[in-house]
Amino acid sequence: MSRQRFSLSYKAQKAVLIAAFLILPIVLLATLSLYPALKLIFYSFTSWNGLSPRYPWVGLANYKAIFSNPLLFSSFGHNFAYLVGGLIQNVVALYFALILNSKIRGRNLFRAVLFMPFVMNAVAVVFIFRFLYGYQGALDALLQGLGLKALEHDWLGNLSLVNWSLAFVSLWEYFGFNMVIYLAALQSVPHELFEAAELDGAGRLQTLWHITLPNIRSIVQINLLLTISGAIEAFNIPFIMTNGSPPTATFLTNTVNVAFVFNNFGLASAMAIVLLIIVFVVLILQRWLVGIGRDAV
Amino acid sequence: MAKVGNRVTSAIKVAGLLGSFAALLPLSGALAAGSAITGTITVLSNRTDMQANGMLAKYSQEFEKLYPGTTVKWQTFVDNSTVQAQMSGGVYPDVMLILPNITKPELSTYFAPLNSLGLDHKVYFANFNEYKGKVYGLPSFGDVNGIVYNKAAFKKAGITHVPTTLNALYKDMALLKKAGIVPMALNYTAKWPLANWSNVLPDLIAQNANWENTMVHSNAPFSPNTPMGKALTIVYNIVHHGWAEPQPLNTNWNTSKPMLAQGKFAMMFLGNWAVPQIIGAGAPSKDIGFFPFPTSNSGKNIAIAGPDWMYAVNKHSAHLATAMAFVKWMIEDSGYANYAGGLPPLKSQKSSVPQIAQFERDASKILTALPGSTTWTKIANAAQLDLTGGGAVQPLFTSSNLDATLQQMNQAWASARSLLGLASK
Repeated sequence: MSRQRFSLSYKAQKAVLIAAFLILPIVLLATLSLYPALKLIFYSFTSWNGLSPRYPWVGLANYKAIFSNPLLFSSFGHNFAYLVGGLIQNVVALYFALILNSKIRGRNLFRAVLFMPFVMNAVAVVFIFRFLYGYQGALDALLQGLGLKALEHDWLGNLSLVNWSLAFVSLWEYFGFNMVIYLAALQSVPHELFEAAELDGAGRLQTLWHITLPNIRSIVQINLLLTISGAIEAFNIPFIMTNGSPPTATFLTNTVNVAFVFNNFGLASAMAIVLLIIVFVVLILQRWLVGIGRDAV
Repeated sequence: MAKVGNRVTSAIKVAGLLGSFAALLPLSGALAAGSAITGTITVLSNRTDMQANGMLAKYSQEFEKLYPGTTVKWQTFVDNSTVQAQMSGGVYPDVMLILPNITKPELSTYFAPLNSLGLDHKVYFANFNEYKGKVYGLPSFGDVNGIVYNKAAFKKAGITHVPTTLNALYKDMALLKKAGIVPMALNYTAKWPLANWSNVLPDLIAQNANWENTMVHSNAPFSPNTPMGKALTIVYNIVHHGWAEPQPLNTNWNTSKPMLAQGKFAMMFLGNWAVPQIIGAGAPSKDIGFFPFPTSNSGKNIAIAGPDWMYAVNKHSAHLATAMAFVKWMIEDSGYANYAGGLPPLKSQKSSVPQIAQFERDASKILTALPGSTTWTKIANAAQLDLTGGGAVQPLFTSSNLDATLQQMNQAWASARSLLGLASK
């Protein structure tokens, strides 16, 4: 009798197995992602101060406050540098991916070297650049050594330069990641296509435009998605490098300030949700725009 | 990096605490919140440097020797949001520091009253965390704010006396600049070193420890003729005359200390606590001085003494008596105030730090600070003007029009008042 209890049907075994494998990721997802997200939505309707056991309900007041304070949105201007930097980052990444996809000597070494910045601790990277950009820092010393004193700048103090300096850190840190994704995509493009194109006498640029790019379109789409949402959510670089000072503040550093400096977790939660919605809208727009091009190519 | 490490250790400690609570449960009951001074307590501290150099461990040993059977563990923090998370989770160290955003009515939610220690009349600032006759916080030491300066740098620029008037300060800064020395390091990037300019200087200018609290009645407390407006004007002048660091928006607190110690920077407007830190950064003690901010041209400059971090005791502590005894010992016998270069918290004691003794002679009067008004904090938060953390001073660095910047602050303040329904009062 007791044997029979364990002799499950194949279907039941499969269900038990699937459940056993899924329970851990689902529990982690629920506790670390879904539950905080639901809490975030709840907080955004309160004026919780981050500490008090009371959660005063304020309805939509936080959302009204966000849209009636133009200062909060003006910081999106600073994200523009990260967006441009992100686009350049994709071009650079694709360029290196194309080179390293060909049969050049030492390509594995170069791949590893170019990917290295992404593997490094993100905080450490920002600290490295802080020393580079600092007053009489390494970058200025290098320029001086090269006799390019005219190019020396106050990299973090010049208001028209600072966000570009910060965006460059982002470019340097993340292009290796984009490159690896492009490389993987390039390697999955059927080789016969390139051979056929070569036989037909297509040049390098023609091959790139008519064969490579259309074949990795969905990967380009994904990389752009990551880049654009990353640019909108720029946070750790200005937060660590310049302490989120006003000329470098982004929407997210402002959100952190609202929560931890002004003790308004309710408003900060609402800001986080507004940011989420903005990212969604931009991504839908991007998909739509890239989708338009599909028929033309 | 330190922050991450800190989080990890706090997490481990939380886990440890939970474990010890669980272990104690069957034993507690009648013995709970024991009146005997025994057991293991965890103490919160902001001094990561003293954890690194072993001073905190030394305090543990001394206390443990005095009260055999006790163990004192330390939890240090760099960013108090980790402590805040522990507090909202309900498990936090036995001996706490009162975080700045805890309001008076909330004190009894977290802390045990300390009146039974009998210290509330013997120490300064006991009224800062008093609610309905109960004292929840006692000061670790007192702070006065003033200008920390390098005497060798002053000598090199040909300055023989510390400035006692605002005009003399401006003149000396010009002399220092001519001598190739940075006159006044402001530390824009670290942000918190700017806090004195918006949070202390206005009261010094008003010669009134309560002036900032009266801002709640005004719609224009930032106008140029107000103490706040005058304080921010001084910052604006320093930046726009080039008397701050050569790249004022690109600074580094950690390197500013050795620069002041070496006399490449001449002055910083900080607190007495900075004196031992600058000496620690490599300056001989005789080269570092500390004088009251010359706020006017009358030559009479006051100072205001306020509390540094205040100790409190976790009301859920399993060893309440031990935690209380530790607070009393830290205040009376540890010598922490002198080590930290602060004013002794006990009214009966005098500081043994020479720079503080000199400062007390230079100041015409030392007022005692008053607790900040909750309404003031509410307005400042709603206006998103970071007056206590230095963020509100930052826009003056990038402003090209002082009046317009002050006017913007007035507007933010006024609309926050109306948002909170205070405008008509």
